[in-house]
Amino acid sequence: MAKHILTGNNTEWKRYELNAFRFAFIYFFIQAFPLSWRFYKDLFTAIGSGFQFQDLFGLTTYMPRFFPKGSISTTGFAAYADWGIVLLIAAGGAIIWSIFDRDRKEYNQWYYWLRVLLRYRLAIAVIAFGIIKLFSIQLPPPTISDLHTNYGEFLPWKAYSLTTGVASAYYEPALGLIEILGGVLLLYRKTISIGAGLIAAFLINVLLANYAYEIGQQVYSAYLLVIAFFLIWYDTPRLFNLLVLQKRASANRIKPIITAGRWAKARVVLKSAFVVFILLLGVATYAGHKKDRFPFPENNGLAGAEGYYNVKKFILNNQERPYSFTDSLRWQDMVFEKWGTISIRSPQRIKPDLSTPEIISLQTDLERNYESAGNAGRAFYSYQIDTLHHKLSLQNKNKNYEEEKWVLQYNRPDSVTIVLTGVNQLKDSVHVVLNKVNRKYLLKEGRRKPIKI
Amino acid sequence: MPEIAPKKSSRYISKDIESLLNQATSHQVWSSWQLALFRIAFIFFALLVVPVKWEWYQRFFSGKTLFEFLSPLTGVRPDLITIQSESGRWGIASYATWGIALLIAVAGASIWTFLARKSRRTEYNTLYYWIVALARYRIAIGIIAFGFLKTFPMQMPYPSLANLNTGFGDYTAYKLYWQSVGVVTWYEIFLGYVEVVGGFLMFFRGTAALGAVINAGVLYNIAHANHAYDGGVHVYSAYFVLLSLFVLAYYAPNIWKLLIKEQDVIPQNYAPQPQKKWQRLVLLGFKYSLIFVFVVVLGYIRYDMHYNQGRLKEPVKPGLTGAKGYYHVTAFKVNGQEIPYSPLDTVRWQDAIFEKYSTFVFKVNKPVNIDLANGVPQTKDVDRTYEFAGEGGGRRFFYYDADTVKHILYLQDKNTGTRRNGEGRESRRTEQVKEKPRTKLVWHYSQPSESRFIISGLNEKKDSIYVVLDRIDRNYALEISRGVQ
Repeated sequence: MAKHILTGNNTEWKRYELNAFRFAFIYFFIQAFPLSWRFYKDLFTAIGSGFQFQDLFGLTTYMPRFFPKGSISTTGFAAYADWGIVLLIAAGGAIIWSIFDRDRKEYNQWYYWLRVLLRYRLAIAVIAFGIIKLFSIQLPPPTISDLHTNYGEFLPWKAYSLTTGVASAYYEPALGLIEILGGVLLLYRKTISIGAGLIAAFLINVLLANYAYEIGQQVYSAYLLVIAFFLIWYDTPRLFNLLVLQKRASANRIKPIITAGRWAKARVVLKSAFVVFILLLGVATYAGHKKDRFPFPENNGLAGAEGYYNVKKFILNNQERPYSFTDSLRWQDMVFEKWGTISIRSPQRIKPDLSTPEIISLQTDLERNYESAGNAGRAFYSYQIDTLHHKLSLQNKNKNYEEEKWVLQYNRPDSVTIVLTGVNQLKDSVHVVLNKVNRKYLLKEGRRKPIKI
Repeated sequence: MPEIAPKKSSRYISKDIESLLNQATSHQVWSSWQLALFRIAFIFFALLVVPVKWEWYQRFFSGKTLFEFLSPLTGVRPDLITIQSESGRWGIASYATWGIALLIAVAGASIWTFLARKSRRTEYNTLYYWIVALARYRIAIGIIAFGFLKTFPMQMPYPSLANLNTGFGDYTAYKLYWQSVGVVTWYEIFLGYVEVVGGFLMFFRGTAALGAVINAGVLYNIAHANHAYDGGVHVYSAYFVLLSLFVLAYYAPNIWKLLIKEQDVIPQNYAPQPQKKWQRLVLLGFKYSLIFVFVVVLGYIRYDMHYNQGRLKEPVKPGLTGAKGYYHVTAFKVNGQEIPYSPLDTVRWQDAIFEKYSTFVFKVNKPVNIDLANGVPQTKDVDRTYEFAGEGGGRRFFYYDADTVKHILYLQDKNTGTRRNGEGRESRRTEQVKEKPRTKLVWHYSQPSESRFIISGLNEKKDSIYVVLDRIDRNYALEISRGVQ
């Protein structure tokens, strides 16, 4: 640690302050600095794949992990098990450190640089989340399948995500801009508390919404929130003096005065790297989203088929089945998305995909499960088209039904009718006649004018 | 080699204070543009806070209960002008009152400046303090009352069975927004407490800046969401953002100096310092009675209305015993003729619901007039419309009284088809004026088994219907906790 790059008062710290700092330093350093080989492996994957935004985004969500994914509960207190390990290391480390560094009077330098690390760690996280909100990738608008799913058939997180997804008036992009603004304010020493305060206010709501709707990102939100609080802590006494006690408040006097030399060069390099990464993430996210429609599948669906269909006729194993509420084998309606996904509603109860879609790496169309996860009302199939033989190869997207596959011959006698014939992996055969229904949606009509629907 | 700055020692500190004090006193003299700007701001915010419309005073003085007396105080809106257009209700033109207030403020400030041209006044510290105090108290009582709607979770009820069985696309956005909050009651209560606490902080000078930050943040989110979902209370929410920013501006120069310019600050804000004991008592007495009335008393009234009186958006009268549930329509006859199920049929019911309260719902593939109002609390169950406000999907909603001896249901159509504009609470009174008479039906029912109901009687077209309903006991994904999978 270079000694001479800070100016300010070198008042002596109290004993408990020194001890608390040693503990905090180790704790936050392990939490924020990527020490795991996993991070560098992912970094090289991201470079190797030509900077796909999903890979880049995945890097920004780094947290040290001691228990492999899936080995600990994702809910309740146990979800924080990794933090427990970090706490133990920090406690042990702080004891050893205090023995070897007995004569220390203050850690102003260390404190400053720890805050630098945490500022950048937090900034990169919230800016990355800001970017995916700015382009409405995190919470996209509902699909046709969503519009035809009953409210009660969604897991809470899905109802919450879709509700945010229907917002107009640039609501979601504005939330993203607030996160980006908070992140940018962290980059300037004088606006740290304002930025961290903004982010903390935002993250308190994110954290609680994560618990309320079981969104599944509560540990990461709490991780960022703790960092934000730690950053605010520094200015809290002076703000408390100024605003609450309304008495003399002394300003911060500890500032870097790096003007030349190795440290100045290192600073320029690191700051540039940060800015380049953010710009890269922003551009890659915008371009990637435009190109591949993430979080929805990239490949186009059957041309001109997009829409909602009534299953007019349904023949299973050569037996016609009439419309029914109770016949769990009878398909009721079907949706062709713009991309290669079909969804089917039938009275059969579906075990929903309980996973939370995360943006951690580039995914194939089949793996892109945002549209199907958390939906218990419809069965989702990813499909490939063989236009030469008029064949669709369907694969159920839900992990609980991954063995389910259909090969269906399609025939389109007119623009509103699709006839599908084929078999599944159990050799059940179907023949269905689909009729496109031109539906008006109240969601799209809105409340501004009287409507009968 | 980086330069080493000289260390500051305690010797310098007394000098620091001296220079700060000088700065502070010199700060007392305002520049002429600051004086002019203040005059505008003073008139503008006074116009927004003090009720200027005659109707408001009429309503205020005609209050018969304590709540009717307090409610105009907490909810006063500065409606100087209302523009009758789509934008005037939902868009930019709905903020016209602010523009008018600003015009009046600029004109008034010009006259004021002219009249004061010979005055030797160099500052308005005292007046500034009082207009900020007025804004603080306005925010406090308004936002605390706002918060109580959620701490006693009235504003967003939990989705009903009909809500759970309605397609996502058959909702308006505003209903989806409220319903998503209603799904998690503790979250709604928490949001309410954030408002109550944020409002409470405005009562005290020391916490007003923090309160203003919280309120500006929370109410910005509410205002923007109201634009995003056509919730209709965007102007009223944005109004509190505006007031909060005005309060924050009072503290901003000192915060700026401390954090951005990194200079020590000794706050020199004016505060009333009553010399005589009785003056102090009057001021404090006034302050704490306001707090008592708008926090404790209003809080109790809201609690009582919610938990004791049941002044709610949802009906409270329990439905037919043991009937609650979602039903398949197993058989459906019109004038003795069976109609098989088809999703396209415009007469046959597709499903039916007995809610836990006395509402009976059935679904037909036939368009209905959508109720686009907010579904505010009403005293009578039959008038409570929240359960279907902003919702389509062909469902019909009937309030019923059951005669359990003769097995007869007396039904009244809840959707009168008249609340078809997206009205906010302002037009609550006009809503009632337009009411049409309700469709009334009398049906016989029997319950041959625990899960089966048979209904017979005449429908709206006086055709006789015979319906067999079978209850489906099922779970909803919305109620699955992933933790216990």
